[in-house]
Amino acid sequence: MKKQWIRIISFIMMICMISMVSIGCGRSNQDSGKKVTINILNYKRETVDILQKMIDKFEKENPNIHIQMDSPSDAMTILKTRLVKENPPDIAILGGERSYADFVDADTIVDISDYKGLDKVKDVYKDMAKQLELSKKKGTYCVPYAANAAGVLYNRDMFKKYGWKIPETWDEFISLCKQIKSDGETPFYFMLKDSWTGITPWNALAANLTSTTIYDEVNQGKDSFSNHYGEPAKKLKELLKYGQKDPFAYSYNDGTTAFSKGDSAMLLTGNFAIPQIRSTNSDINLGAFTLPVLNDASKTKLVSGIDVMFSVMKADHKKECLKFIDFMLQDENVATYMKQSSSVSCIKGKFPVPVDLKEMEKYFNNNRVVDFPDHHYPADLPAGDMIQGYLMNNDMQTFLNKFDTEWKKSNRNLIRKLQK
Amino acid sequence: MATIKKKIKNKGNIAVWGRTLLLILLALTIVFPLYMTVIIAFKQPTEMTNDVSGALALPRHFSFQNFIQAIQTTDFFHTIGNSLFITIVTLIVVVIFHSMAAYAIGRKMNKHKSFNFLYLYFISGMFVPFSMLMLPLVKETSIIGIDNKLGLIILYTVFFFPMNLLLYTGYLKNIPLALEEAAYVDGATTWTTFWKVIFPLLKPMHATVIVLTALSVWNDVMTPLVILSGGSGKDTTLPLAQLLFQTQFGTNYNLAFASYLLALVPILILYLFAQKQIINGVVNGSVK
Amino acid sequence: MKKVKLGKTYKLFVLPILICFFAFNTFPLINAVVYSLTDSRGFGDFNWVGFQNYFDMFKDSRILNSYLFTFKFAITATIIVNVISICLAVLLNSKIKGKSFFRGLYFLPNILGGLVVGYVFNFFFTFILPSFGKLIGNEFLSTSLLSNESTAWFAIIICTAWQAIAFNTIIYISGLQTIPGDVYEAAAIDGAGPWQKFWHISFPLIAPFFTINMVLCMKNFLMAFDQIVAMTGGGPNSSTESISYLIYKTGLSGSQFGYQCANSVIYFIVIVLISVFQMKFLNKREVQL
Repeated sequence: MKKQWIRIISFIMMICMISMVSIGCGRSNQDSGKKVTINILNYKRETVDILQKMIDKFEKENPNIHIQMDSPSDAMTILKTRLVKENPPDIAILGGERSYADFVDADTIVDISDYKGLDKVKDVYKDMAKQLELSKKKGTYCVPYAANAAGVLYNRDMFKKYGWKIPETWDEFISLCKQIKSDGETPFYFMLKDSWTGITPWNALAANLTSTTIYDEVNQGKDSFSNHYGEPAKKLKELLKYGQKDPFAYSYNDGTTAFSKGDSAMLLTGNFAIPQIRSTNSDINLGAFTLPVLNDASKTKLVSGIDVMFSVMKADHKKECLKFIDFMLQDENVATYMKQSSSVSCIKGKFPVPVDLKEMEKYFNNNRVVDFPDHHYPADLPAGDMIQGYLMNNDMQTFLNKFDTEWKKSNRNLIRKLQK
Repeated sequence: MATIKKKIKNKGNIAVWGRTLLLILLALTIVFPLYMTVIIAFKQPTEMTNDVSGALALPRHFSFQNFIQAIQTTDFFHTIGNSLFITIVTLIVVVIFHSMAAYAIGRKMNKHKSFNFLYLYFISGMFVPFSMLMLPLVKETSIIGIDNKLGLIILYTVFFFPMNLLLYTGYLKNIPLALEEAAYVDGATTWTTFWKVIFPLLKPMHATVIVLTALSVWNDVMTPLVILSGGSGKDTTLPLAQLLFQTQFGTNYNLAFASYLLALVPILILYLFAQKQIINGVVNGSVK
Repeated sequence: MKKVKLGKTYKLFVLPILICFFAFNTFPLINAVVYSLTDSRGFGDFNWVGFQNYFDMFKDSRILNSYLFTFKFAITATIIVNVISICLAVLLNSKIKGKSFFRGLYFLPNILGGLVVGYVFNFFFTFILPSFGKLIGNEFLSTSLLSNESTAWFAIIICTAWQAIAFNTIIYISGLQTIPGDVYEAAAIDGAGPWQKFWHISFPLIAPFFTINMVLCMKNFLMAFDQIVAMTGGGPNSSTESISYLIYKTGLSGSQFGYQCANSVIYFIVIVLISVFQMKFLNKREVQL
């Protein structure tokens, strides 16, 4: 009896092994003649139509290159599965966040430091991309293209009606909130049911009140977040006073809907929320300004990150990939892209800032921008949840300790590597 | 005697109506979410509001615009074809192979240690978190070259086996052994006994298995998402295409709900057919 | 128990599924166990770290909290769902008007996708219930149940139960179908009341289906994932993170694949132990007809 089962099981195992070995690694790209096919994986679904038009134009100019773009939902998971399959796209259109850093760290992105077009990219965004990397590697792994910004979205009509002024300093901002309240309106809608929305104002506060080297220093064991995150936490708590009655009940969807219907004068979020807000009220007259975190207006920086960047993930057709990126970097195309997607350019040159972000223009033009701190947070660090919990329970010490503990846990492999 | 019977009948009638009334009241908890789904599917995004009375109000115009747009966005007729193909083939494979295996295991697990072990082995497979199997499976299917519809069918056959094994073996306990023994006495082999006697008797359970498996396969997003690696391939299933209504930060609920309502129809039809089988099971007629 | 020879046909019946099952369930499982000994992100290069992941896991308060939540959630949901669905199944199986209609209707919650259910219930808890609370002047109900760490889990249970009851009811109905009508007739002649009929006849006879439902509930609730995504995304303050959700969020969306594989392995062992125990216990109470 027993023997028979052993025989059956070993038979099954054999089948598995044979099938894996015999069929394994039998996948190659079919290069049909001279025509090269470039596969692009685009994480930003909102831009599909714009990009597709530009791709069509590119294909017309370069008849021997065919570009096939996928813009799936949950693109990061898909990119991971494609890396597991050892079938990455030629170009990945990514956001400048921690997952990019992981891809660089796992040696999955091709070095393009010899690419001439990099000179066209604003230095501040190139530095930003470098800062993201976990262990600063030699080489360049992305071409930053478009930037986003976070701050305060406001209802222009309401501001006009009551004669409110756009604040330049923290004190002005707080007195504006008080003013709005006494005029019988709600300053903000918090959307803290979705914990990630709490990170947006946190980003502005933490970015202005801490230095960008803090992540590396904590990883090297030289510093801790407890030493620096008290101040932003205190200020965030202060803002909560000016939210609606039940700030933890509303989701992102509910909050943007409320703001679009004029239920609140402002919303603490980024330009990425504008399409969602417009979808529930296309007529809303909105603007955006920088969250004035400091009382010295000249020192406040705008939180802006890389929204779209190109990374070459497969060396097979590097030349053709760079040709496409080159095409995207041409002034005329940059202008089209930025205009149609309402984003801010990472490319040098006179490209107008979108109308909605007019009040932020001087920050962009003077390079007074700083990256979102959460772009440095690992995806598995529950930063949003911790901020949500802190605002709910008002226990700063627990929050600070927890932040350090969780950070060390999420980065434990890196920390072990660095501190060896 | 006759009056007593009548009395019982009258009393029975009141009970029937009482129970029906109770069910109607309970049904409100189901009708309400359904009502919301339907009105949202007909509304325009600009009609979405946080105001309770506004949200529950009927849409301003009843037009099928959302449904038409949902059909276009998801490439409905192509993707539903894929979904139908995958679901139907899976169901056929599942009913044949799962009932076969479950019969063997269910009848023999009490007498043979090896089958008892197999039973526990399969059932425990139910408790492996899928997230953990996902990446190894992606690699495996891609190496074997079945990161396509075929692979999905095989994977579903594997994933739903523990549940179906449980269902079939549970049902088999209520089918008396006497029937099979009679067949053996008549000289039938195990093979013919199964197909001629047991398989038809399992009909109500087949129907249950079909409904439950179909439902899970039909609505599944995660498996095709990772196995097919993307939303634009020719094998795309309907739920995968429905992900297109969700962007990084927001969801177009109006289109999504319209699309969900469309996707609900085939399953509902299947259920209505299967329900008859579940209810008018042969067991009541033949096993006594 | 007489030792009978196991016929060849029986083995053949099991073989195809056994091969597939091993190849696509056990084999990747073994892979994942191997990954649990590495610092892999799931892709790219990785290092061997031995049992470090397992040691770290036991110190991780987030994982501990997710275990506590998952068990609290699963046990409560299992009880609620089974009690209601037995009642509903008996009701739907009794003499009523429009039987097929109701059976169809009560099955509907199961068909609606997670996005729909999530949206509707979120709206219910965020807007409808609080405005009802304000109307009747109840302080507790005037705020969203989902925004409170101590009540959010119960709100998820309501939504989960609403959806799961349909599934379990069907199984109970199909169980009730297997009871021959003459058993009831005999009982009626003996003068058994409806409660006695249920408790002494129906219940023992549907015991196998009770077992099925218990195990399925365990599977659905201990593996709770869709419900969490649809309702809270693990919040507020990580209070509703189920284990499956945590594994997905930090292991797959995040970069702790190896670490969460270790978590999965431990969790797998825990559940298998529970379910083996449960089945042994429940099987004893079944009656063979």
